[in-house]
Amino acid sequence: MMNRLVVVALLAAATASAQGVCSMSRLTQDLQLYRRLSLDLRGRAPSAAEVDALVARGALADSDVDALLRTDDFVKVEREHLRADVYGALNVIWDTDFGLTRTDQTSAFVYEVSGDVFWIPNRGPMYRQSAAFRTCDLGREQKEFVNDVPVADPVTGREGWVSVAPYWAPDTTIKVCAFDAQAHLKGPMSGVDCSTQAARGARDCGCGPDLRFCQGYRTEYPTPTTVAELNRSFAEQTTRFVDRILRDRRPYSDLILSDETEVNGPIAHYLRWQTQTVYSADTSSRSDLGYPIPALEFTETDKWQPVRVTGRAAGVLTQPHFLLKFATRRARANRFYNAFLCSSFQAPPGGLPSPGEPCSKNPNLAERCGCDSCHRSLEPMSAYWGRFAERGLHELKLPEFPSRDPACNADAGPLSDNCRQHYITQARHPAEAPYVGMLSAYLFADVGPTPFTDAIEQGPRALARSAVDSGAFARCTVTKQFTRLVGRAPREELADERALVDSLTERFRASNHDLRALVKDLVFTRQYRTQEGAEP
Amino acid sequence: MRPALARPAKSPASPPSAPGTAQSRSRRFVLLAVCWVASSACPGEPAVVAPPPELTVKDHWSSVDVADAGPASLGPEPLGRRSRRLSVQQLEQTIITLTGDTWAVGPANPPIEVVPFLRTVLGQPDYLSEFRESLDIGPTFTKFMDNWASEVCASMVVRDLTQPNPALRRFVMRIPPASDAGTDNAAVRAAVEQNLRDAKLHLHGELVSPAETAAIEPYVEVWQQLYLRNLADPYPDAWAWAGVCTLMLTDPEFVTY
Repeated sequence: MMNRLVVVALLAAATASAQGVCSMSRLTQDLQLYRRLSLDLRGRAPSAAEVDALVARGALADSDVDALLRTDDFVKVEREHLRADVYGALNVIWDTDFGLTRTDQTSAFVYEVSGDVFWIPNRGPMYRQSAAFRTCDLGREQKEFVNDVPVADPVTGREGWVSVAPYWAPDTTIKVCAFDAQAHLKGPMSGVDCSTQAARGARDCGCGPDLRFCQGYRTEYPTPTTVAELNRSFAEQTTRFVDRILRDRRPYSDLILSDETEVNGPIAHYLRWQTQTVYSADTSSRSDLGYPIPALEFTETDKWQPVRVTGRAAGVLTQPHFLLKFATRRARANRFYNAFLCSSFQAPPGGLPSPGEPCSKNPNLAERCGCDSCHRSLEPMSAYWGRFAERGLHELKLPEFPSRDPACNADAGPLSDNCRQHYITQARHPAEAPYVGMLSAYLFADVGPTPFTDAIEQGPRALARSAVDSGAFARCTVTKQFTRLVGRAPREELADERALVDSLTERFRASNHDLRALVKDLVFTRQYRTQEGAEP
Repeated sequence: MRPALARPAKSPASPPSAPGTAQSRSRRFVLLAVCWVASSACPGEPAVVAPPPELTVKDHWSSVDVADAGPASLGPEPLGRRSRRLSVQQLEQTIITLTGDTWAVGPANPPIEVVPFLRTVLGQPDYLSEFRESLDIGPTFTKFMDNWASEVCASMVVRDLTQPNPALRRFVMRIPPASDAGTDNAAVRAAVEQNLRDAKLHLHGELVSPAETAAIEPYVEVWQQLYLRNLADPYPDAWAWAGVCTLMLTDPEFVTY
């Protein structure tokens, strides 16, 4: 049976090209349709010249739709459509409370003060023997050093400033408090590796050569901070990833399956030098994101080098921006559920039972009454991100992160940062006792009718693959594009419309998830071409 | 009885040297300045002088009489595409494409773009608390759309009136009269109607045949009323065209699709 969509498309195309001369009312209809197509497919109405050309041709042709679909503006429109669903506030990530911008407990973060001298906050007591002296003597250049360590004024305990060419603007020099500017890779007195977290308490470690271990904060820098530049780069990394799929007409499913990405100078600099030194209690950072770090300087902001990510990469689902924006396993799974399966978690009819009821005491959310209506699905789904750091952007790889680490038991002694951040270190309920010392994703993963411990080790690509293979990803994409173009969700309670969605989904899958082909199919449907309230 | 249509002032033979007023972005100031420039090139009195009539076009804030359309239908929803307002991004791109102008203010060089400050007010989500664009046509949107349209229209009209080559104009008299219309009201009216058809085609995507006048009649009315109201001004057709342009950009035919 020839499907209905093909019939509609053929009729529309045939009518549009018939005769070459249309009646005035038909041309007006074509003009209106062209305006609608232009707004939907490239985000603006046609120019006067384009309208004049259409009037001269006499009718809208199939090739006009193709021309709109080939524009760069189509990529922008689809990117913005996806932005609402997947990666949200690209431009404001640094204004929120994400780890990369946190400075508490940091050992290396230089600020501008008094116009032109940079210094690190929170290091006054360590360097200058007094919390009152947060900065050096801003009016004096430091001249005296012993073993390359500045000698402070014996009376005030403060050092002066030195001139440094910072990595973010290597052709210039700035004044930096001398303790903060120390360039050692290894503390000359403490012997500590200054590029690691161990240097947090070392008086003989500063920002390293060219201040490479530190973030810079300066209002007149083209972007407000190097942190902002880094966040902008992570945002652009996702944008470029999405654009490449759309522009090169790759399968739309690459969005959640691809292992490719690109890296620029700020990201490379961060991964090479700063994942440990700008450490904050809320962020788990590692240099290893599954690819060799390209040899790019921080200033090469516009130079992007393609890399292939090994491990559990799954398109946008494991991009740094997505992982930072949706900082927990459950947030990531919830976003996947919304954006790529077109489903949402909702409280059961009648709401949740009272917290005082016995069934509300169950520590397993997948079984706790009321909570179970969502968490029965959410817990297994979030497990796919079980080997990705929460509030961080790296995988929890072996051997550094075994599934069970006996040292991660609060009763066994002091806990490492790894244990505190990623492991179950104590049982808050007797039922949790067997899980102490395990990665946090393993909590209750082995109980219930369908244990999901395998999902933790498989990673989000397995979840994405399952959504693509089952057709759920394709159907959700069809639904979202239908809603975007027609201005309402498909009414699947009507047999006709449900059949249309089925047919579009089938064709989308058969085209290897070609988004342009899907959009073209959609704009030839009666649903798109008939304006509500107008005569069909 | 409809007042007689006055002759539109001619565009200057050559564009005046870059008027400094264009940078000020003050609509009134710019128009007055251009009027002064134009009047020196085209000092003739309008052919017909008539008292300004009352405006007959309703604004969007006065109450109106709504005809009884009968009971509302609660039947099945139509299956077609639902009309909606242009998003802020679509409006920005469309207005730039069609008028060549953005809404910018202030003496800074370049002037400060206004729309970026208004995007969230006009409905664009911030992706922190709002993730879906509001496409409501509420009072706030309507007010700022009025401002936006009048600002870009003023700039466009000024530029068109100082552009001697009709092919390079975007809105005003893109199609010049077949010959100097002089004081021939019928010829002037025909030229205005022809240019309004042209504007209707490009701004609303609606082809109005030469035999059809209903679709452009409201704009003709506004054009002539504004023209007559500004007869004391040395360049009244600038006001007339700017007003018609503003009306067209705030029309549902433009802000929805």
